[in-house]
Order: sequence, then structure tokens, then C-alpha cells
Amino acid sequence: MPVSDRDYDVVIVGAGPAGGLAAITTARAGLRTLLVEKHAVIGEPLCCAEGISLCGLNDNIPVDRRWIDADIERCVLYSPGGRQLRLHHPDAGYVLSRRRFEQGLVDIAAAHGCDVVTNTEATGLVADDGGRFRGVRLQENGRAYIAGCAVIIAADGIESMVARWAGLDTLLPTDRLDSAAQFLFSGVPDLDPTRMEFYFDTEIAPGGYAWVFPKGEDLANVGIALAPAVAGSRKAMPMLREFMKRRFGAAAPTPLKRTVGGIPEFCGRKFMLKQNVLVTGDAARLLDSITGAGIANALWSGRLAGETAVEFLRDGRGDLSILKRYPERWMAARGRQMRYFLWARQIFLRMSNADLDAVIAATGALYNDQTVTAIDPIDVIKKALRARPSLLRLARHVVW
Amino acid sequence: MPAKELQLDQAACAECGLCVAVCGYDALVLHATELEVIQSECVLCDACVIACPTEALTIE
Repeated sequence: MPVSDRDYDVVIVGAGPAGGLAAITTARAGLRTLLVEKHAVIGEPLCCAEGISLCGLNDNIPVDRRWIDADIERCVLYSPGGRQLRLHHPDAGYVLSRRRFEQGLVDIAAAHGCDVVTNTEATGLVADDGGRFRGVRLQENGRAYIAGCAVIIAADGIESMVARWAGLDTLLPTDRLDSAAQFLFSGVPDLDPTRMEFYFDTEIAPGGYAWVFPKGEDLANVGIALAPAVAGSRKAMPMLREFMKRRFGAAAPTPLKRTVGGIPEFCGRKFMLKQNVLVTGDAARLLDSITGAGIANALWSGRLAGETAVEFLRDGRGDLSILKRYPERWMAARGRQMRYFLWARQIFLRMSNADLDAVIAATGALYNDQTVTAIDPIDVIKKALRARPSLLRLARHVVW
Repeated sequence: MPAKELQLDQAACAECGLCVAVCGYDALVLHATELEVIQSECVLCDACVIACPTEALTIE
């Protein structure tokens, strides 16, 4: 008996970067693919500062210039004591228009034959007696139906319900996440459209940092992320307003849009797979634990999940063990760096303003005002620790 | 004195889903355009209040 109005090989829930690239991958391989988005407009609401490294984007998808709001060549890191670390990296990366980017990915997937439905909410999964999932319950304008499928890809973000329905305990402890707020501004003074600004100060952003990311000549994302475990009762949105006063003074620009959201810590592979449900991007907590960056990881995991689904259905005759290749490949490619960032985060959360000054001074001695074409974050962390070995003591209480 | 309850300020809520991600009791459900509080499931653990970036959630 068919379980749905129409059966698919793959149903992908969430049309962000992970879902979009997964859809492109499976549809291009000829799998019958359905991409489900609960919001009416692809790319809305935004929950992101929109920055991505050059290779993070280029390695995963040929770049369409229409997705790019700014080409980044410079970064400036500000320390609490007023030190600056200036990096000149001609190919550092981009600030995207996530809305145009995500719509662009969906358009490519649709051109390869993927069915796309918006304004449609996933409300549950359908499982058979053996525990394998056979479909996704969907609701569109009051019409409830089931889309049957052989593989489900969960790309539904930090609050992923699909992963939870699949049986993963996705509860996020508040000491393992950052809480973030951001405004999109027009008329930002002193804005260099090629330069990103990062502000580290436990008074400005306890356990996190504040940023100014240009989006062209006149626009910028200005935001703050803080760790609730360090910030106590201080909240991201009021602290962002405080930062605005410090950065712009009386010349405060005009806010066009408000964005808030959470940035979870990386948690290893444990949220990436359950039966025939592949979990990707933020839903699987695949974020850099120091920077909070997640778009490249989302693209990478979406692509790997899609490729694994293709192998599972085309070559593996539905053998569930094939799906284990997805977390294995992800960890082989990104695991070392992600674990290192997670370890560094445990130290970062305990750093004082004096520690931040020392680290930025030490890193400045390596890179300040030099043109660099590649920065190895692991090398930077090692050198910072060497410059201030007392930081290692802060790692004593790291829990793995 | 009436029992305390999780209060949601709809105007302050940005529907970011952070509270849903930290709620261990399925007491918060994020629909396409609004957040729903299911009071019968809420145990007043405070996790969502701590995580919320906009002060939209309080226990009163």
C-alpha cells in the first residue's frame, strides 16, 4: 500500500545551504527528490552573519557572483586593551546574500528535477515495524499528507525536529551553545567593503565576540554572540545595542533588519545518523566552535549526505550499513579541525581580557600587516598557547 | 498567589528556534511564523529563558 500521495527516493527537510546542496546532489544523480521548506520564502528568516571562506564555498559549488554581497580581503581583530591584529588575505572569502544564495541552490536543484514545496511544515516521521523510516508527515495550508521515501535528510537547523523524531537526543545544554543577535544596517560609517571587523572583550561579548561584516558599500551585518554560561543574565540583544554605542557612537546607522539565533558547539558524529535519517549542517551541530561558522560545514555535509544517499539507493540495494559512510567521510575530512576548535573553545570561554590581549598581540607578531594567502587555524592556536602557556591551565577542566 | 508560568512576549520573539533547541520537554514548538508554548509540558527549568537572545521568554 502506498504511504503517500507520491513516493520519493529522498525527502529533504529544510531548504538552507545543507538541504539545498543535498537536493542538488541527489536530483542530479537522478534520484526522485523532494525538498521541503516550512517558510513561505527560501532564505527567510535569516539566522546568519553570512560570512564564508573562499574555499568553503568554491570547494562545494561553482560560485555564482549574484550570491556575493562583498569580497573580503582584510580582517581586523580588536583586543580589549585596544590592540589590533590586521590581516591582509586577498582571497579570504565572501559575505553572501543568504537569500539569493539559498534561492540559487534551490533553483539548481529544481532544474535537475527536484520537487520543491514551500510553506510546508514537517510534522512527523513514519516508521515501519523494523524501525526504518518510510516517509515524512507534511502539512501544507491545512492539508496533511505523507511523502514516502527511502532516505530522509534532516537539514532543519538548530531546532531540528526531524532528528528528534528519528530518535536522536538533540537537547542542547545551555553551556554548549552561543546566543547571538545581529542587525543589518545601512549607512554604516567608516565601512571598508573588503574588511571584516572582530571585537574580543569579555565586557562586550562574554564568551564570544562582536562583528561588523560589510555587505557592499553601504550595508553591514553588525552582531554579537555570547555564551550564556559565561554571560549570566546578560542577553545578546541588549548587549548588541551597547556594542553599537561603542562602535558607532552618536553616528548610529539605520537598522533594516533584526536577526537572532543560536550557535551550538560541535558534538562529534553523534547527531549525524539514525537509521536511514542523515542529519546535516546546524541540525547535526556541524559548526566551528570558535568562530561559529557553519555555512561551509552545512554545504559539505549536505553534499556528503546526498552522495551517500545515492550510493545507498543505487549501488547498495538499501543496505543501511552504506549510510555509515556519511559520518565517517565527514569526520575524516573535517573532524580533526572541528575537534581542535572545540578544545580551543573550552580555553577561550575561560579567558580574561588580559589573556585576550596577550593572544592577539602574539598572533599579531606573526601576521600583522603582512599579506597572507593561507592561515592554518591550528597553527595559530598552537602559537598563541606558546606565547601564553598559562592559557593551558584554563583547559584543566575540559570535559570530553 | 497564582502558580508561575513561562511567559512569551510575542512582539520580542524573533522565532529563532533557540528555545526549542534547548527545551528538553517539548514544551515549545516553532511553527512557520510563530512560537507556541505548551504550558502542560513546561517544567519551568529556565533553559529557554537563559538561551533566548531577545528577552522574549520569562518565568512569572
